[in-house]
Amino acid sequence: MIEIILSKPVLIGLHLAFAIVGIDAFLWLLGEIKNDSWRKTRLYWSAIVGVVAFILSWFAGGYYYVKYYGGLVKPIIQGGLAPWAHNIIMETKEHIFLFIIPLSITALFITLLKKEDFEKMNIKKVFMVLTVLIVGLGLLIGAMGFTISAAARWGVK
Amino acid sequence: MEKLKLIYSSSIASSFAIVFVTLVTIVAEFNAPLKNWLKALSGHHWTSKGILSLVLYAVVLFALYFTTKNVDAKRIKSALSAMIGITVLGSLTLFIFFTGHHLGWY
Repeated sequence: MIEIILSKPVLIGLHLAFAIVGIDAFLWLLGEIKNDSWRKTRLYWSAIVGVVAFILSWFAGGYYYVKYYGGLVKPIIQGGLAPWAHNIIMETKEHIFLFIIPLSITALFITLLKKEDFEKMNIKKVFMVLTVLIVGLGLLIGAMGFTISAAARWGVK
Repeated sequence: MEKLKLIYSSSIASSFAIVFVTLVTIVAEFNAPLKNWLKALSGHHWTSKGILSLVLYAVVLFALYFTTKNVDAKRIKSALSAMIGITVLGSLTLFIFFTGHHLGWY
């Protein structure tokens, strides 16, 4: 069983699936912030789901990257028609991914506030910008991942 | 638990972690001993950057949480805004850096 979970296609699938859950959870959080009702349980759980999903995506993608990507995929891309897909896109993606965890934990901490404290602090706008940033980075990283996979599949000379 | 201090400390700690990842990534590309040290630390330079950035985040978070006094809305807003700006700048810096590296600008 563990052999299947740690296989290349399953790891890629888990990396993507957890990332999608993380992005969706923060989109849900964005909607909760925007509607002004400050339903604390919903806010808190959407942020918790998002943080945990991004951490799991990091572990699955990180294990794949360290164990398989460098030895198997990177040489194919660098020897193919689109070496920039590794040299620019992958190099940028793997490092930007590291930004998401502290950002999403910070968003989670904001959801711990009581409604009256949140309103008194007047941070709704900056909290929404932070959530949009987390979602935007997640989507950008997803698009980068697709480009890298496409370069490995179709960029072979 | 003082939630305002936690949010403020986490914002600053995140900014430190993001600046650290950006700088160490660029410096290590030109400094082989540093890249080798990162590789030796965990077996892969990227894994080491991830671990070190989280350790830095945790250390700064705890240090600020236990030393900062009088956190108000203005300070939290500034810290969150700075974190957002640093994230955008860090992302653009890395993208431009690796583009230049690939195109042989340096």
